[in-house]
Amino acid sequence: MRIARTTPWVALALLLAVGSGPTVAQVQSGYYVALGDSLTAGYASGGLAQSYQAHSYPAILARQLGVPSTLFQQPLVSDPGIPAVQELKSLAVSGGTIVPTIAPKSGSGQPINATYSGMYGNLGIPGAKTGDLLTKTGDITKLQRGIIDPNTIMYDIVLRFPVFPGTTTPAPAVAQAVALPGTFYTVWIGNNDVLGAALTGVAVDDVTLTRKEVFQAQYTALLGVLKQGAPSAKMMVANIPDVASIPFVTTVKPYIFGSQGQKVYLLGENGPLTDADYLTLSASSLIAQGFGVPGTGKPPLPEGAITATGLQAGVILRAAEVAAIRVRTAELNAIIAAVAAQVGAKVFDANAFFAGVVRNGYSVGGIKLTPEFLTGGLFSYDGVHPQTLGYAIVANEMINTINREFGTKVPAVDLRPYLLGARAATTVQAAGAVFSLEAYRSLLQIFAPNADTSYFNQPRPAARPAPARRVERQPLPVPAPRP
Amino acid sequence: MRRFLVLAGVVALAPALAWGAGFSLYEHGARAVALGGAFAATADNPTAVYYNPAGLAFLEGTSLSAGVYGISFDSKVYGDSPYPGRGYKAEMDSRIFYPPHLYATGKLGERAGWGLGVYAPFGLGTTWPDNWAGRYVSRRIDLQVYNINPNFAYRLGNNLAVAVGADLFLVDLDMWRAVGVINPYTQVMTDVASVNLAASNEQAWGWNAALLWKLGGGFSLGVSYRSRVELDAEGKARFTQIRTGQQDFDSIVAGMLPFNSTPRVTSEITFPAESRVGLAWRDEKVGVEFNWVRIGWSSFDTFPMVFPDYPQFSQVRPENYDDSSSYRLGFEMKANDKLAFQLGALYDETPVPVEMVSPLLPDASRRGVSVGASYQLADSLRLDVGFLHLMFLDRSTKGRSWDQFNGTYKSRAELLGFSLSYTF
Repeated sequence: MRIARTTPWVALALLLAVGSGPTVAQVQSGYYVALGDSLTAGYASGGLAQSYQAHSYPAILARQLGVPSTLFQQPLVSDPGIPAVQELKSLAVSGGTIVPTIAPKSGSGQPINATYSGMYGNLGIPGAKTGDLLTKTGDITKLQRGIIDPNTIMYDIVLRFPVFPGTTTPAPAVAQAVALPGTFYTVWIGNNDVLGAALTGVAVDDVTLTRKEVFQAQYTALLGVLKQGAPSAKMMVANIPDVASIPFVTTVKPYIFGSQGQKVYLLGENGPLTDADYLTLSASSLIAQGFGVPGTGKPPLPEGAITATGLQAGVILRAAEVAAIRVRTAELNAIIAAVAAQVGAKVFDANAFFAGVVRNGYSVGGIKLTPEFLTGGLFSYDGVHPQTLGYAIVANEMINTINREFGTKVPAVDLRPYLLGARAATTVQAAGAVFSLEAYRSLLQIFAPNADTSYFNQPRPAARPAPARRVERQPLPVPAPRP
Repeated sequence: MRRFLVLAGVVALAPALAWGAGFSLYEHGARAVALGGAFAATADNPTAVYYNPAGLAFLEGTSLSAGVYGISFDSKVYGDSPYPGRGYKAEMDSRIFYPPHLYATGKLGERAGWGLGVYAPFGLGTTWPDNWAGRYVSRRIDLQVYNINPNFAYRLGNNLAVAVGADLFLVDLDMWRAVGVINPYTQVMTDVASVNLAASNEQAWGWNAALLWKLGGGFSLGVSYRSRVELDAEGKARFTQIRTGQQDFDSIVAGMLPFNSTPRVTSEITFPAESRVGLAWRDEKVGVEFNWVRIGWSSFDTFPMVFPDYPQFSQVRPENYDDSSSYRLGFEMKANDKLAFQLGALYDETPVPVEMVSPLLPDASRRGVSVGASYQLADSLRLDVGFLHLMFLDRSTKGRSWDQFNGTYKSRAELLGFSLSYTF
């Protein structure tokens, strides 16, 4: 504070005027750390890429809170990102319906801020479940040695070093978050404790759904470590939105239209689909080849299952599976609320906010944005994560909560550049399947790494990359983190 | 066969065809304007047809009166976050409107009088720059309402008169705005069309009644009531495509919006009732009058835009206006037999709730000061000139704009007009 430069009575007046001065100072202009998963990382369109990361909600919050960029840095990855982000290739019109083709951009990005000597303020790790923040570590030198391991790459990029340099102390996300005690924390974790079920069409405890007892222990431990490591810090946590309402789940209908315009329900391995069932975006490329379409002689659509070889990804979310996901989400959100209350953290109700958007849309400047895939304005090309406009809106909703709960007057971020911003249009060229298999695989590798997608190889075998491979890559400079 | 990924979202590019609002005009006679609009208890010239038709019963001879007001209206908006954002500023195109007024009055025997007026009781014209940030709410709106208003007045004794009249509203409405959708290639809002809704010569009826009572001792009391007028309008919509350069997307847009036809649009607009009470005192030399006007704006609760053939474009804009009051004070002094001067002051409450303050009608409560003069050019010819300066209070949407277009509007208006009256 600049009190020293002012006369004491001015300082006193300022304190009286601000009222909650210390809180404001802690939330604003302090040392802000964001813990979380892909939503926190600014992951979008199936990749972690600078052009999206620059507008992650923690980056926007840091700017709006007035945190200097010297104190808030992100694990930036150059465009087109890791994995390369998807883009819209074409919008074909076929039989009166519109068929978008979405596939990853060519090329690959690489970490461009790995040598930052401080701790990252954004510790969002795509794919991370709650427990992963407590235990998993990363090693950026693997990338420097050309090792791309889909199971760890996000940890390698975000956490960088397995132990604090010069020590033998492990450096998982939560340890890095308190290495330099922050003055303000946001924690948005738990999404991947239910998301895998939506992405793979399989809702099974311990495989795609985290049990509530397990979550309770992990979440309590997580907030406990933060509270212990930074006792005076302010904290806001966000809960889990309904993953069954994202475009990845809601876009593809369980039926197609027959020649007379009548609904023809698609076939799953367990029988015909009904209006209560959902198909994921990944079903689109299979349906395009006739899978699940009555009369084509092609196999039914995969339901997904646990087999002797493990989790087989499917494309169908049956009504009961959606119900199970929603029940679990509600249970985990109750835990989040209870644990947050124990440690004095405030809660951003992401679930309620997103439910409101699903119900009513989100109005900006006379335009109503919706969770609609591609044209709704909120979600990116992967149908799971927001695009920059969506992240900016989330940031503004968080700012509303921050201002209400901490008595601050943090300004909302201006949405005009996000709504009207002129970004370069992609070249239009027709190619490939709809939501490409590559796009789905790269999503699963990060968010359901154990899922087997061999089913998808039947039509076009041998497209799957090895889980770990060496690639030609410029060596990265060795980071020298200073915790 | 490849019917798998129906882009319901592109259907959702059904544009929000949102417009709305009403806008009262009070300036239908130069002398009354110069008196701050406080004229209901005086009503001693042909403009009585509007301000208080009971005054017609006290007029002598047959009169014709005509005039026009030039209204210059300026408005600026200073953006608020999150949209269009702090630092954003836009200025309405400066326009001048010329609402005319025309009156004819005469006697029907000793006790009765008649009057016919044509004037514009409501009107609105806002034009914003082409590519401004609020273009999805409105680019331009023109509302013109003419009232053809015959009245019959009757004197009960020497000091009390009553009047009734009919009101035929002729309404022209013309609105333009941009149609934006999220371009799936760029993921940002892109203008794909502009749309114009137009209805002309739509008609609706209302009625009015009034009383003027000369209380004695120089005092007089005027009461005037005008009913609400409910308009069922039907017009046409014209969509004009704006190409994005992405041919596949453009052809999808072309299939979604009716560019090759002019779909019907229907609406219902309720113009509010108005009650006016005036008390005046005057002697040979000076006069002073106060008017209280209560406008039943709460009847303007919704503004529907219905596309009978394209229900996906239909929309109802909530308006939820509040009844509002207007306070008007006027002072007049005769310099000699031929020349008189007027001064006035007024305060109008805005009926527009904060949520509905929008680029369509950046309404605000306002203060006004007026000045004017009357001169007897010849025995039968009189000229009135009046000037009114309206200072709108700054109006902020306080982050609650229904369109989520937030900011503070700063507006002002200057009105200069004249009336020429010929009595024979």
